Amino acid sequence: MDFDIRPYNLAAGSTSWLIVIGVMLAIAVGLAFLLSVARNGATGISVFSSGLVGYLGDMFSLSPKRIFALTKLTLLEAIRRKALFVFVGFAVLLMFSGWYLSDSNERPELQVQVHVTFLLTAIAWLLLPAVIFLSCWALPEDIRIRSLHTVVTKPARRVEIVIGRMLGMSLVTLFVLFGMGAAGYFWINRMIPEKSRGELTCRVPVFGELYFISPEGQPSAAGINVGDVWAYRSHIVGNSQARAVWNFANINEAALIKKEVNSDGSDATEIAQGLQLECRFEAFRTIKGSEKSVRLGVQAQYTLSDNPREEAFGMLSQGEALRPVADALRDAQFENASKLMVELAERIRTAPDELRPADYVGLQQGLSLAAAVLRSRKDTRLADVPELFEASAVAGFSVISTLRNNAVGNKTDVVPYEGLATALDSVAKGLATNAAGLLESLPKLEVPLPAFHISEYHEGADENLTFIPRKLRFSADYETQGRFLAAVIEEWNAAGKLAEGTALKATLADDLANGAKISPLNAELLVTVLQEQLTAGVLKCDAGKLIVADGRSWFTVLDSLIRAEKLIAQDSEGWMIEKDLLKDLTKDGFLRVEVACLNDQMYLGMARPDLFIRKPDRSFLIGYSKALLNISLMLLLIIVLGVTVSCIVKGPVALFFTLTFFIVGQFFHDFMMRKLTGAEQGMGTLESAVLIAQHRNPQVGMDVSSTTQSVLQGADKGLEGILWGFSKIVPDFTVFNRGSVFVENGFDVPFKEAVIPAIAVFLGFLFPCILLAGALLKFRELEAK
Amino acid sequence: MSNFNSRQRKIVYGILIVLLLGPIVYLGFPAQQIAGGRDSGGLGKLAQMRSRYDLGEATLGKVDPSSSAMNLVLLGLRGPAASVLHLQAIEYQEKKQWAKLRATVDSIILLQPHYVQIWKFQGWNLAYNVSREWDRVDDRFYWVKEGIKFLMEGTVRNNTIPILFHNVGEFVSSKMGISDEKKFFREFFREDPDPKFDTSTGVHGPDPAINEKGLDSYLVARDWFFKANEKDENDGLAGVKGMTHVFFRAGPVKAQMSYAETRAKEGFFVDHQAEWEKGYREWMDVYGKYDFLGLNEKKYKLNSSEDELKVLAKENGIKVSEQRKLWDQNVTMVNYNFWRDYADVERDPAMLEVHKAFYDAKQAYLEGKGTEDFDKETNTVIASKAQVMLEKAMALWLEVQKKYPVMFEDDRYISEALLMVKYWQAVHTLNARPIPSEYSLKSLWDSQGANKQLEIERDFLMETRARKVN
Repeated sequence: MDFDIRPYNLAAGSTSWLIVIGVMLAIAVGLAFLLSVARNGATGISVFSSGLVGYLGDMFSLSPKRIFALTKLTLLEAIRRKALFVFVGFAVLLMFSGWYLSDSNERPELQVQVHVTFLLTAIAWLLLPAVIFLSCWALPEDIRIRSLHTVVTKPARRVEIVIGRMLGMSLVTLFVLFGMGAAGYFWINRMIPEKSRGELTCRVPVFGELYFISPEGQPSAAGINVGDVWAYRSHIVGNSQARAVWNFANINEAALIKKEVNSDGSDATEIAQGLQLECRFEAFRTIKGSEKSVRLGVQAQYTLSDNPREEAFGMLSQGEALRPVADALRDAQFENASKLMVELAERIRTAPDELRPADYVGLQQGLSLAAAVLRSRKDTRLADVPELFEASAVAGFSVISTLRNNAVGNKTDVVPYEGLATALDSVAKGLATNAAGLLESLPKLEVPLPAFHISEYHEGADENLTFIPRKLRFSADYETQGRFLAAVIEEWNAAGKLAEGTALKATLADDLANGAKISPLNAELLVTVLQEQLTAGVLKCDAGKLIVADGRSWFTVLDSLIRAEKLIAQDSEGWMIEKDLLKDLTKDGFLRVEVACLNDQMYLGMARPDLFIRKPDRSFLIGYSKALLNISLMLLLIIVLGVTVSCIVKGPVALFFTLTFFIVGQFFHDFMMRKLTGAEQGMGTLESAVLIAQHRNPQVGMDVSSTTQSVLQGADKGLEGILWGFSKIVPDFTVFNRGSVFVENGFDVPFKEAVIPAIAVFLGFLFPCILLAGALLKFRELEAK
Repeated sequence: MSNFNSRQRKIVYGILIVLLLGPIVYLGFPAQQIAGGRDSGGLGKLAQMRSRYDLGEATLGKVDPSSSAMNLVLLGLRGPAASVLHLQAIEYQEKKQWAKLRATVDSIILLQPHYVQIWKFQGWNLAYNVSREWDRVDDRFYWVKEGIKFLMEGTVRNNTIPILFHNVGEFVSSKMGISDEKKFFREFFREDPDPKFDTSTGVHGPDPAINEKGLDSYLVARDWFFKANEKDENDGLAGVKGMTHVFFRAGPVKAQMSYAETRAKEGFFVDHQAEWEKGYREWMDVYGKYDFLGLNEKKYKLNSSEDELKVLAKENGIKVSEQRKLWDQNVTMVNYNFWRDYADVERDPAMLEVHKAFYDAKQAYLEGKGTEDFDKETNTVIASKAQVMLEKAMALWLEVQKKYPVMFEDDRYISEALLMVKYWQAVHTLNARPIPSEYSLKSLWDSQGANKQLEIERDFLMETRARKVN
């Protein structure tokens, strides 16, 4: 699958639609007025106004009864014209398709894809010519043989004829499409071999947002390019800090599934609730690798993480000069970070040119993001640190604004480095003063999941599925262990369960093992260490409570003990801790999943849709129906366009016009938009023609005088304007293919990303086309050939 | 005619149709009626001519009705349709849409079933380019098989084209025998990892489509090369389109030699001499005695005595010196003498002993039998099994070298000896013993440059990655 489709922005689309329609309406009315005056002189005004009033009157006095009568007529006519014969072609194709498809692939997932692609393509492309002919030929033919004359002499309004025609043809098309769809569904169930039927399903994905962290720890939009011609995926290098990070939104109870799991390695299974992740990563090797990796594939590992420090300070690591500060902040070494920030401030003050302008931009962005993230936590323990970051971001903005103005305007204004340095000093001071609060307030929780071998290009293979149980038990790192023990001690202390008089409770080890889910060996170690600290005077017992003698927080005390290696797990599993996937790892509905490649000198390639949360699968019929809905909307749009055009021109011209619209909209719309937005490299039409004639390339440019060049470029601008106008009236037919792409790849068709855009495009053209077609038919002279 | 009414006109048309049908039947009577042995009484002129000049589709290979149907439906637009499909195939390959690529390739072949280059190109594409895009080795093997099967289908549809048969042999031989994944592919060729080929006893079996009898890959390749040579004999042409004839004909014997060589490397020494003997005889008596046509259609044999050169010179109507030159050029081009001597050395029982001794020594080292022992009673060090066997192999190598001094200047024999030394040195290092200042292959080791020694070091590391450590 090679797409990265985003949810459709209906509001933005509607606004843009209203503007275009408004402008076109104004142009149409203005033009009609001018033509009327030009043709009739002064009386043209009254001709125009009476025509407009009549037209509007028609619009507001539509009769459903007359429309349905006309619809019925169209239906009968279409049947008489043997439109249903298209069924025969479809049947023949399905009957003989086995000749071409059966031997193609032995593998189930490949077979299913080929069959589904064939079926959906056959349905769309068989109906397409029939629909184009029917819609473009019907009205001109009626006018030619004068059968329309009898209709228009009746009380039927001309816009009703248009609507009736569109409705009638649409019904015929939908009827045929439904028949084909049903036959196709049975055909595909029959054609897919028994062993492959399981593959005929619709996976329901929840896609996230992806960004990368480079081996140096720097966040970036893309990873490494390994030289693949197709730049869809970018890669992370193995056995390094490089990560691909996905953020999934709206993760709640509804996203969980139930699955039979074997949690303790025995034969017994239980039903567990959790999230199912599925990946579609690509592997790239620079060495052959071990025999195991050759047989099983490259290894990947997921880490679920809730890391506010990464969110707040990750962006600061852009640029060599800023990275030490960012790394210290990420590692919660706030006092060290404070010192490094003072050094940075001093460097900016004394040798500002040592930093590149890009470093100042990175610094400003990093400070701004840090301020926003810290402020969003609304934690009093952070004191005024968010504001200090904000102030330094503002100072940074002044620096980069001045630098930019100086560069653009060739000015020599004084850059306010001093202001930035002073602001950074304040931040440094704030960090040092509030180090303990920051440490408490910004806890990092990382849960590494078991490593797995990816199964490249095997859609939905078991190896690519990872079930994450809601209750996660994992071996904790130092920080998590410290926070866990601090929380246990604080809770138990508050309940008076730790100490008796001036000593620890005699049964404390057993109590902790039973009540705090700590293994007996580790519980015993903890009690021993607490007793040692009590003896050493670091802790003391007072009124049945255990307290820290110097008033430090429990986390600080335990963290120092852990780092002094006094609490190394006695249990072979380590310090096993249980966390809840939704309560502890999901924040505001967001779940962060980091992906690492474990093999040295190997790479994992990925794009945004390559990791998703897989909800319970849906029946193939559901996705298939949505894909057919999209195809039907495409066909209906062609009918609407065909009927509209045929109101003013003859059949062959209408046919040519509609076909052109379809071909441009289907095959060249993307190119047209890329050209207009500048995404497509190259020059204008005339400039390109000259370059081709002169056998020169765009880098060298044209060999013409500057005047000729200006003229050509001006003319190209004009042509580009025409292209822009054209792009506004040619529908993007590729939106109707999106449904098929999802189904071909075994996915359900997402409503927001694939169905809504198709409906919006169809409706966006339907209403203006009815208005236009009504007007064209109303004001044309039927006898004019 | 204009005075005829509608009915009369229809009758006239009918008579004309029947009259025109006569010549059509006369010309276009189907070939099968002629081939049945019955006298067709002059009917089926076109079929007879097609048969006479080998122009009929049936004479090229199996006729696929779907292919004919597709060409008929396209109404002469076969060329543009095939071009569009080729472009699509390239796009699918770039975008890693393997299922669609495979289906598109099949469609192209339906349109152009007798376009030999397409079979060759797409077969190669699937077996070499697509297979390497996949990460896991079993997936790579699947696509190698797809390429081979595709080409095999090409031989069915074009069974008069020798180069396609040769290519199947070449694919099997090179992909299974010398690719990066050869270790796995040779195993998979006999024991396919796909569970659908598992035998009734639950062990992996071969994919019958490419290896029906579960043979060694080189033997299967040899069969294909034989078939290619047979087709070459029968196609009525002097050479082969798409390949130099003298290389083409070497297929079976080269596969035979590779088979014997690879078996020894894998530790199978049963019938080693017999297989090399077979290779030697084929090289000398079959390949060497084949009548090739050289420049200006002059005949030559690779294995020619002085008398035979004279006879051939007379037959060709050229001087003996010119005949010798022609012969010499081709012998040099195919490196005929090297392969002759190589097979000659390898069929010698002494050479088998060298290989066997070295293989056993390596196995002893890999199985952790490189550590020496100490006899407390006699207070002496007992050399490790690996060391004893390596020293035996080194001594044997020197013995055979005296017998074939020229051949032993070849890199493959030098490398084998250097690897023996490397293993032997490793055994010493393992036992914390210094390398003795004198040993049997020292002069050979010292005569090599640093690069060669590094190459041997790398080979040694590759081979010993899986060594057991006691």
